[in-house]
Amino acid sequence: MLMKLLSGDRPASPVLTVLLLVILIGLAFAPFLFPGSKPLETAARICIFIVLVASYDLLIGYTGIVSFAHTMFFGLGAYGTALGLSLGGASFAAAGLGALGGVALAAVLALAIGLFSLRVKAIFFAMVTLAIASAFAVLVSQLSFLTGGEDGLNYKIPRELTPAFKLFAEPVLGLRIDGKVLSYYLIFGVALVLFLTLLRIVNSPFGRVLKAVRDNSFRAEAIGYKVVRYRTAATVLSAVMAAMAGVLLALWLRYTGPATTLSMEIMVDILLMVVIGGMGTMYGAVLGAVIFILAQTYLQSLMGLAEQATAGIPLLPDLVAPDRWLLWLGVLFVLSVYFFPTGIVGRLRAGKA
Amino acid sequence: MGAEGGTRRSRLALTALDRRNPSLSAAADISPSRGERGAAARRSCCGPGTPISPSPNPAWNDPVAREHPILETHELTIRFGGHVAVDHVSCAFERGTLTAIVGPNGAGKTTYFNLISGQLRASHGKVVLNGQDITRMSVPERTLKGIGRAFQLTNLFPTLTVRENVRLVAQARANLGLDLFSMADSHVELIERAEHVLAEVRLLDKADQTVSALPHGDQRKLEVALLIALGPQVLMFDEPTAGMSVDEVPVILRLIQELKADKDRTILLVEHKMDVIRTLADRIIVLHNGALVADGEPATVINSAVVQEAYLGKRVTEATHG
Repeated sequence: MLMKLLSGDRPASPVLTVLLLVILIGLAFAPFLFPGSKPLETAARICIFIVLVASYDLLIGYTGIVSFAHTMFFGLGAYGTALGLSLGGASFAAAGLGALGGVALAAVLALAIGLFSLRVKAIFFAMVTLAIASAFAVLVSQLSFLTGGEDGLNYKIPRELTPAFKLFAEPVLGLRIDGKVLSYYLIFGVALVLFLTLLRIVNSPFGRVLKAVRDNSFRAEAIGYKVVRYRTAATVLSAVMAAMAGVLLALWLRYTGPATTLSMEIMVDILLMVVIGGMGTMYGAVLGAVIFILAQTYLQSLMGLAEQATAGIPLLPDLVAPDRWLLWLGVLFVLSVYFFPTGIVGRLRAGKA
Repeated sequence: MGAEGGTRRSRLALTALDRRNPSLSAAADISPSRGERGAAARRSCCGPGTPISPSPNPAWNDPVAREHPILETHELTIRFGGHVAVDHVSCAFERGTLTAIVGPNGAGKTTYFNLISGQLRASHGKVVLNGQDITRMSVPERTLKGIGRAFQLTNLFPTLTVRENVRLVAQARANLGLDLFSMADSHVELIERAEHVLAEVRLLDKADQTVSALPHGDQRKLEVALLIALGPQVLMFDEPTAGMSVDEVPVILRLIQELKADKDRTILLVEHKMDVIRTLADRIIVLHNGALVADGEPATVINSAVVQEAYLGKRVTEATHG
């Protein structure tokens, strides 16, 4: 049963199994284990980014396609939902309709990009996606009557998902189950289902063909696989998954703007998460997203503590001052890429063998 | 040269007619036993008891298609700028034969293969399979029509395991590639089929190894295994024994011989080793500077002035005219 859920893709390393279990339990009980709004915020971001990063890994790690348009698809899902909610009012129907529109548009756009440009060399495809994504970002910021431009869109979400909504009169295990918690569990549940779906896809006959295409597209053709068809299908699937992650983000933040969805910075973050976790492994997306977002969120406060602790020593407090957190984030990446060239999951699996 | 080629073709056609005497006629081809074989192939393409090469697609036994030579090239030509790499090569290949294609390096043998299997598109001329013009078809379309190819430079899926390489071919044949929601490993018949082929090429004990870690000889064997798993009508081997150690060569030769024993298959073989050609070939065609310069029975062709001179580097035009 469990193997079926994981599509036969075992973590294949005791350490990795433990890490994944810790993450699963941590996320599943986040509202109870880590009270407060910041931890919940972080947990929700992790759930959303796991889907986003895993869907990107389907492209880059499994199919060998480098695309820079992933945030565009992410943004399409988010903006679709945001528009649905701001134009149609705070109902589930409006959110659903908007989400559907955003996801469908992402699929159509991915299909068009795939059919028109997947025949060209990988580097040109990367450039094409970069150009399209930039054009889309400009378009969104220019169409301010619709998208709110650079300010983005603020909107109301269905009452059941807001903190004002109380599910039970009495707290459960010391926690008041309000709309925010429900909202978190909605995101957690959907993200879990999407992740398991991706895990199934990469372990399906289709997923195996993608790996073959990545390894040697020339030979994949010669044994009878129409490579462009498979590459396009992978692009569309990954775009749809990214758009769904965008829907979740729009529901969670109650705000959608270029900075939270479309920016190049997010694209780079996704790339880093894939590389840190390990390309070509879905579990890598989980580890990458967790480590990266935790570092992004807590490194600064951690360094604040370090600065206080080293207050008496010369020079050191300056080095670990919270202002320098980006420097240390960079150092962390360089180290992780240096020591784990195949990503953390690649390293853990190799270590076991 | 053109007229000469024409007479050759007709001679070949005659021998083909001889071969197709009543006992081997179309009526025999649609006999129940063959039909059952086809049905069995459709039910399950594998199983440990399957013969070395899977049954051909039932459609391939279509009596109408049988009237044509299985594969023909008409005036097949490709130019790269001013250089004509394959020059108006017209040739017909009959079912159940093994044709060796020889010629010095740069004669256009591999390019001719590339034109037939579709990696290159012809500048002029046609490729006809079972009477159907396939000149404009893509590589995967031709593969599904029944043209299979093993490559000269080993061309595998390096990060995947040996078993997975062959399983992917079985999966392509079963047309399961677009199945998104079943587990690949739940299709046990594909894995069994892969392991069966691996046993044939003596690679079963290395099934779990990653291809990039295999020694060269084993990679060559796997290259042949992929072709066998594909089970095509036309099998094209491009120097299958190149770079193999002496004790590995017989394994490949035995495999080709077994494939040849199946009269539904046609084999095209590019090879330099004359002893290999002598044992295997029913016919030899010689390419030189992209043109077909000789065609016939092995003994005749090997001893002909054309071949001797082409390999020794003398001027061939004199030989053809002489």
